Amino acid sequence: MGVIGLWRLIDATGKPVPLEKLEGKVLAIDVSIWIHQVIQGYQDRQGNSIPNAHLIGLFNRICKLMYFKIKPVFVFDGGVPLLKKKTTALRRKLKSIATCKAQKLKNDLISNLMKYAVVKGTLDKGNEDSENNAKPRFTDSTVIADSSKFDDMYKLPDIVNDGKSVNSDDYQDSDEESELELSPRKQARWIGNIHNVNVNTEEFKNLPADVRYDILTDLKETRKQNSWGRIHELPAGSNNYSGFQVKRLLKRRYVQESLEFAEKEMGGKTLTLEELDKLLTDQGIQTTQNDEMFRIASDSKTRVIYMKDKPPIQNNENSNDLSNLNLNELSEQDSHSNDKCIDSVSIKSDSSVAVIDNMNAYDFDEDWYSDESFAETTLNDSKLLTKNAIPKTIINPALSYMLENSGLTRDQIMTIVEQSKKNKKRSDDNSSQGSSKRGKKWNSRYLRNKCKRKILFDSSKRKAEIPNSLESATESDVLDVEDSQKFNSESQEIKSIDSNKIITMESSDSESNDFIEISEQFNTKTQQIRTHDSNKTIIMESSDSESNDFIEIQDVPIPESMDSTKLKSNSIQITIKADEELQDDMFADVFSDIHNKADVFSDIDNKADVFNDIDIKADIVDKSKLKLVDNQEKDIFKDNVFAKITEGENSIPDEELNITESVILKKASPDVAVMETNIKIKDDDIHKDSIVEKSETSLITDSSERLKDEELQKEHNYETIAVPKVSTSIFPLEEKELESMKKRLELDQQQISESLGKLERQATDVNDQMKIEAQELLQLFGIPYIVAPMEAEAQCAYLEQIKLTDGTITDDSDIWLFGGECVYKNFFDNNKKVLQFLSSDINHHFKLSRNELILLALLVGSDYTSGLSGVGPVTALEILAAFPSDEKDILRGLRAFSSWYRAGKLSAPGKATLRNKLKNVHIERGFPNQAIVQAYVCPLVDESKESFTWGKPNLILLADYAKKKFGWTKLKFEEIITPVMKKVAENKSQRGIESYFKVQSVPKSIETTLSKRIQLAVQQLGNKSQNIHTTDEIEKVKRTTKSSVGKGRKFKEGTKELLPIAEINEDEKTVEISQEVDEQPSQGNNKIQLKKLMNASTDIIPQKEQDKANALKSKLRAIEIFRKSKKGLNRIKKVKKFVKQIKDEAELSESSSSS
Amino acid sequence: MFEARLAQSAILKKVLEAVKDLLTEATFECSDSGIQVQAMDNAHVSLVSLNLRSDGFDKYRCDRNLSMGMNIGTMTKILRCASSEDTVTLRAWDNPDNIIFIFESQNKEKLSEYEMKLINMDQEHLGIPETVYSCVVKMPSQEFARICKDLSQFGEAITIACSKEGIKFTAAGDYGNANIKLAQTAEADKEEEAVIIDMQEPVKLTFACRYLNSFVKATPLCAQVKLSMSGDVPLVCEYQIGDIGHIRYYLAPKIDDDEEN
Repeated sequence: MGVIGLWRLIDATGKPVPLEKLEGKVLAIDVSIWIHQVIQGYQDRQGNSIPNAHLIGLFNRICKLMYFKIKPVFVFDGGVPLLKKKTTALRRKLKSIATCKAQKLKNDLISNLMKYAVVKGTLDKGNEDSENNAKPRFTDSTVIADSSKFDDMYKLPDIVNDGKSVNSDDYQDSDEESELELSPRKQARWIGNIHNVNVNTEEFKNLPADVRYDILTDLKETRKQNSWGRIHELPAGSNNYSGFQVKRLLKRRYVQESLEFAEKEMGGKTLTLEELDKLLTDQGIQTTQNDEMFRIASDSKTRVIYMKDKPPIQNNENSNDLSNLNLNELSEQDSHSNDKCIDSVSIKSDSSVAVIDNMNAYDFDEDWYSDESFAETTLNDSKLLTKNAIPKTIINPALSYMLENSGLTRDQIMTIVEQSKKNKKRSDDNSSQGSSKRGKKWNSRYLRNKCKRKILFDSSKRKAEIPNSLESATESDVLDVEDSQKFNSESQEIKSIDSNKIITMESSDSESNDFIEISEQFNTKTQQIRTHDSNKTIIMESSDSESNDFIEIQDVPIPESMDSTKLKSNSIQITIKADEELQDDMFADVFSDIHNKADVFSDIDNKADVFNDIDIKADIVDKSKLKLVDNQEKDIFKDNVFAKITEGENSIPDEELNITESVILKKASPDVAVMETNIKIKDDDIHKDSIVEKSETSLITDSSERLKDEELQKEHNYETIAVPKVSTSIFPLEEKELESMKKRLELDQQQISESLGKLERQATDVNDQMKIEAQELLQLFGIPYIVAPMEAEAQCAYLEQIKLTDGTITDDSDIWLFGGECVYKNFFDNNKKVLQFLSSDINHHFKLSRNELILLALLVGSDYTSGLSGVGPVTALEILAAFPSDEKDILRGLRAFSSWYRAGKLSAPGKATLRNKLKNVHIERGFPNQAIVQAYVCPLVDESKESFTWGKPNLILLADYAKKKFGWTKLKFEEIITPVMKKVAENKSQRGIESYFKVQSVPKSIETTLSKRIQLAVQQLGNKSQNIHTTDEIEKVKRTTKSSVGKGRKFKEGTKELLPIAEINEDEKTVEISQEVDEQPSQGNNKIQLKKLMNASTDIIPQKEQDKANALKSKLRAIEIFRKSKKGLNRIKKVKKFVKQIKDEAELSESSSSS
Repeated sequence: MFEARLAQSAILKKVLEAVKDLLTEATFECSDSGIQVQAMDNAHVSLVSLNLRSDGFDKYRCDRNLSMGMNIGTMTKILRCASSEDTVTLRAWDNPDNIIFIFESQNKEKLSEYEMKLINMDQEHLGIPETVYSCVVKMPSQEFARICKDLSQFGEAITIACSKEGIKFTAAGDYGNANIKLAQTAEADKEEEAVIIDMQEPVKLTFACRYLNSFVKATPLCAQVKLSMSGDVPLVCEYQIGDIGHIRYYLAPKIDDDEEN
């Protein structure tokens, strides 16, 4: 793939070349790319893979080469350099991270959208009714709404999904919020549908009367609105028009009839204003002030109107809350569920159901049903006391939120459920505490506030990942927790995390927090965790995602594994911790499930169910991530240790009954847990193997290698981590057990690595097989080939350097870095012209020598390095221009650059613009990596200088070969080969005219095709290479003339214009300058040039000192160069400097006269 | 400023016809001494060298040397807009982006102006060494064109063998061989109709028909063509353009592969 963006940059230097011109040339052909193409699927025109497709491809290409009488030398890749492996691995990792992030963002977007819908709905509705209630929170909600608006607008289609899932559960809880969330979907659905409803169908008639009524009224209402939209329905022939009209009238009548019928049927029972309002909003009709009229007119039940007024108030309030609540609405839900246990329990069960069932197809009827039930609940709500009503409505939105998430991906739901569990726990604790201290009602509010803050923080975290937001969380925690020490510890912990600024830790923190809440004894544990936290790196993210987003792992096992390879032992420890805690949670739940005691625990009961689900899921996921098997094992391992520790801790008298109970339960049955985990491990092993087998085709060699490495690493970690843990455990019996388990695991690892090795071999065999086949074919054609020790491009470049070949056919821009001089691109691309690129052209147009190209690659990234993120080829060019290197020390410039960057990008002449462009650039440690430069400068190549010979194709064998491998008939083979052979048989070759006449070629200027930035940078680059010398010289000259400052000052005083100066210079008999002036067509021109020189000198003045012995000589050279570089350097215009420079100039002239 | 006027656009038309097969674009070098074009074909096998002396123009002015890259196709199109009796004037400013073609009808009633964008292209200048050719053959251009046309039906290459007796054109192909011999004309009424061979030593060279067939497009320019050949040196095929200049085609020979290796 080469250097990123290099082809694009140098594209303009490519010259289209007729293939005839290549006749007789010896060209090296880089086959490495072909193999890659084959791996990625070489297909025929229909997109089917054909057997031996790569050989057919090769055959055709050889024919093409032979037809044009090119003498090809095929160069195969030998091995993959370590650097390249690393880079590809890194790339893949980055890609996977990016996809993960994208996924997350997507989810956030959708959740935002949902929130937005809620907020908007409530705002619309409640605006006039409940300003008083809403005001304080209104601002908050609008802020959030605003922030979410940005993203929302683009994401509309996704809602359809979410809406579905919402509907599926609506009938149980039927609340306004979920109703509101429906609206976007409905809008989408309805606008298309309503006029297509056939009023006469059975289905329609079977609908509940009120629903029919709604539809019909709507039909009536909107009939006139979109007459334009239905203009196409008008019959083409004028004769049919009256028929059409009659039809329409009839239809209208039908509508009216059925409307009346529906009205009758309804009598006066269920239709509320609320409902109507809903419907209308759903269908895109704004039901604000104007609709007031409509409602009254359509519905004569005044009582209902009052009803309508009330719910909105609640609604508004609640939804405002809601709007503030983000992901953790669930937690809120839970907190309220404590207040209203029964409700919450049902909701939880719902949620779990939703989690599983959310994929259900959307059911229209259900929709209606939910509408109905919604109406009922609104009635209910209105009857409820405000206190009760609030939690209820909040619960529902929370649920709906859950469901909306469920529309996304399963893993998301899992995480949410998980989170909710944790939050639940916390809220349980909170509520219990709160009740003891301040009472339930207050607590619920308090909780809500807290949650709100949390959520705000959460959302911000998700969106912008602002680490500081953690602080807000901690603040809120502190506020909440003032009374209780436990909470203090919690906040402390969050703070500690704060210091680490690792956002992703949050999830694991919540876990650990839960722990604290559960029992004080765990504090020690969490502290431990905290200490580990401090060691955490960004990689934690991956580990967190492991514990939270199971399916993400499932989707991308390879990247995941890569991540984990990157994990240092510490981070792995932490990962395990997180997981471990999670599992502990689960276990606690399971145990509590068994005992099922307090009211609060009835919740946990439900949780436990869900947790079991999670457990199962986790299992699956773990199985799928075969690479992380060890992790899993370790987790379990840890679990045991953890359990043990808790046991030990349990010896201390417990305070909180419920929790201690769970702990005791744990204590009572750690063995059971161990057993379970053992079973799990076994399962995992089995699955591992099966998955290994499955994925063998997809696995590429390096990935498997990576896996191996990882495993080894893990093993290592395993030992380092597990052993100390074991030592802390109190019961030796456990230790033994663990030991045995460890052994078993090690065995497993061995097995796995063995099988992986096998796979690896198989995978490489595929490549080698292809290569061997290709080489066989080449032999039949009598074409020489070599297998490079490492990279084929490097070998090609080397062959060219030792003049064994005239050029290289490749599409890989790496060739330039290896020193390729003549490259033919797009040779085998029939859709493009073959382009000839010459390194001399690149040097001419871009002032990029091979060394500079290597530097460019370091900046933008290539096969050997991922480069600096945010630096493209143009920026890289500018960097190179601003920080020139020299021959001896290639990296000098980049080192200067990186130190300049680290020093805070001090503005220096010529670097101001660069500074602006490098805002988002991140320079990694060890940035200019000498090893990469070395890899390019001295690649491993076969240095044999033996020349190549070409034989005649063996037609008989070739025909056999084609028959055997491609199934070609003799006829088809001859059809293809005959023209080629005819060409080959021609014993005369056309000479080029250039071989007789000397060509002086001036490449056309390509400036016009380049962007201004590139032009500037190139110009600078060009000047730099010159000025490295010139500056020295100028400086020297200056030094030599220091003595004559006085005279120089005279000039300075005397002249603010340059023109006179030049004249004075002439007067002073400054030979060179006067010459210069004479040469100029005009004085004014000279003035500009002088100025330019001055600026150039100020620009460059920096560096070296040389002996004064050469002063005269160098001065002469300086002037020579000055003459040459008339064109450039007219960018900077600084008058002050210019005056100062005059002095220098004068001195220079002085000195010249004196010397 | 550059300005060059030709009384009859026909010459320019013919010149363009003569080069448009080989060249898609070319650099016109205008100097005080005249207009010069030197360009290789796409495959760099042949070279076209066109020279129009300044004194051959009715009016010629060139203040500053100019190199103008022109698209031959476009130029041909423009010149097709002129009738052959029209006076044609080329005009360009210093550092031009455009060149202007002005066609003036004979009766001065019609004046058409065409502006053509110049193109930016590689400037390749071939140093053509002064060569004393072993054989210089002058023959009627019509005859040469005919021979090339006929022989190219038989093979892709024409072998030209020149000896004291005459000149022999041979082509061999799948269908058979073709052989045309021209003897030196003993005495001719008109020089243009004669085959005149000036030979130091015999020469035998093979050339691709494709190019020769392109060269003979210059036939309308001149009744006589001069072929200059030496062993392993490009063929020169020269047509005089009235008294204004000449057009020379250089064609690299085809070499036996055995020799090469």
